[in-house]
Amino acid sequence: MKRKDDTDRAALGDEALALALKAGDDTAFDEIVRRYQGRVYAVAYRITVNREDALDVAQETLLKAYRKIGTWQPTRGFLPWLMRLTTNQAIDHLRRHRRHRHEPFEEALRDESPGTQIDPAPQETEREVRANEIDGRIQAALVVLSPTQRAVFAMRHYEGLALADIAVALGCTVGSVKVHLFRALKKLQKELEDLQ
Amino acid sequence: MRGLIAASAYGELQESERRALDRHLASCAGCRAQAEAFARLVARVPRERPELGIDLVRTLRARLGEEEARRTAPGWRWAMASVAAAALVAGAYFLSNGLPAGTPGTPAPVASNPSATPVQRALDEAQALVAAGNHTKAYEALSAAAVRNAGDPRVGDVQLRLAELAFDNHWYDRADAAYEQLVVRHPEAVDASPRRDAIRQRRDMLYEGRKDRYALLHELDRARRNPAGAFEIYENVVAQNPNTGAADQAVRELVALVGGDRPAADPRGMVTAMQTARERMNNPVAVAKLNLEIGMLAWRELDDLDLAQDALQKAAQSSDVVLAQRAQQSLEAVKQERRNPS
Repeated sequence: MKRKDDTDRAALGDEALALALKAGDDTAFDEIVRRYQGRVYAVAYRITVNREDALDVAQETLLKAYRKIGTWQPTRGFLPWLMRLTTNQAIDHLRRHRRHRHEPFEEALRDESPGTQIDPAPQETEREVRANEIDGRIQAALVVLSPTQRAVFAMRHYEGLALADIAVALGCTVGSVKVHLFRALKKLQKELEDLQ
Repeated sequence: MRGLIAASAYGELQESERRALDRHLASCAGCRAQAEAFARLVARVPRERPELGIDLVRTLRARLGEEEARRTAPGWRWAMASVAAAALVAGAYFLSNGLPAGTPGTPAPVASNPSATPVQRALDEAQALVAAGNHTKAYEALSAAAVRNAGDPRVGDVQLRLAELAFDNHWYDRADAAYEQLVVRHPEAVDASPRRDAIRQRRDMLYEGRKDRYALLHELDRARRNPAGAFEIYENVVAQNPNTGAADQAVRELVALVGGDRPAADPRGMVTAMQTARERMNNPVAVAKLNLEIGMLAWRELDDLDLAQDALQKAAQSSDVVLAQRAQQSLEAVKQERRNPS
């Protein structure tokens, strides 16, 4: 197998990196993982609404990308393809491992319960508490959305993907993506109206 | 038009679409209000990405290496491994039922088997050390074995036992790291374990506990050591942190405290125990949490939609916003089911 220097690989653009892996440069995979693991995990987390499930999905997605790189078509961009693998893996995971209707949320609210020994600056604590509260509310609200609606919302709102790229990721039209997005926002608006 | 309104919230309209939408909004107050509401929502919801917190490169490389080893291993090695695996799973099942530290009646050490694999020998050695009350040495032996046998396909069983030993001994920082390694590097050991749900629950609690040095887990330990005061401790854990795995665990232990052994296998018994506990509680958030759990059990296990709706309705009034929201979502699902029974 041809090897590339780590510095060279880090300097490659996304498509060039994927092309290198597709061409047989096995070591390009390490840079792909470093570059995309956070995004893949983040989208998986918003769809599965569970950290452990999201970790499983992130690993399986990246391994699948490695095994199936031969099927990736450069004309369509690497990130939308990777997001497609992520979304499919996350939705399949939800189907296979259906859990209770309400799930414990990993972002537990910080509190001042007895026994807490950490003593951060008060302003920081208040900001963190508020941020955790909001994130807890959002995670609870995401449960109301269908997995596809969660995927569309996560990719648009958190990852900033263009609607056209989301359509590629989901294998549907841009018009369908817009409708999914409308329904997602409508439900979230209802769940989070007191946050506005 | 709905699609255009949604797309406009993120500035994703073509010029012609923007003109069409503007023309429509000029004459439609409802759509105008909707567009404004979406814009406020998008501005209000933070965009921070949840932290992964670990680097997956080594883990994925290790898995690819294991897959390659499996593909190239001679067939007879895999036949032997299958036989040993069956013994390991049985042994791990026994060990992973997790007798609390120092429990009387811990089984006698397994006689050493000269043909056992290194992983099986490590598990046997740890079991013997636990039986002799030497949990620290057992932990050290398992830690060393996990490193020494890193390439063994069954090393996940060692990691599982290591994590459970740390948790059972209340070494929560070590347990946190061990469970993380287990799930990331040895998901097959988790999948094979009959205690898969318990593993998930523990991981949830440990992850939540990082922020306050596992204070809630130590509170649960305090309740177990203090049966006379346990009810109040459990109630306090539930009241202060109703949406956490620790609160779920506190509810389970409260049910056992109030209801005895019977509720474990009997949903109706669990509901009765929860109702008894609820009547005794003083804190309204803790009461709401129990109402939520009663509602879910009545719905999912007993098909008692009247009880489910009543309990969830009460929980949906809670001052804890997240708890109330969860109850409201389930309440709507119950009402939907009543309208459209399948």
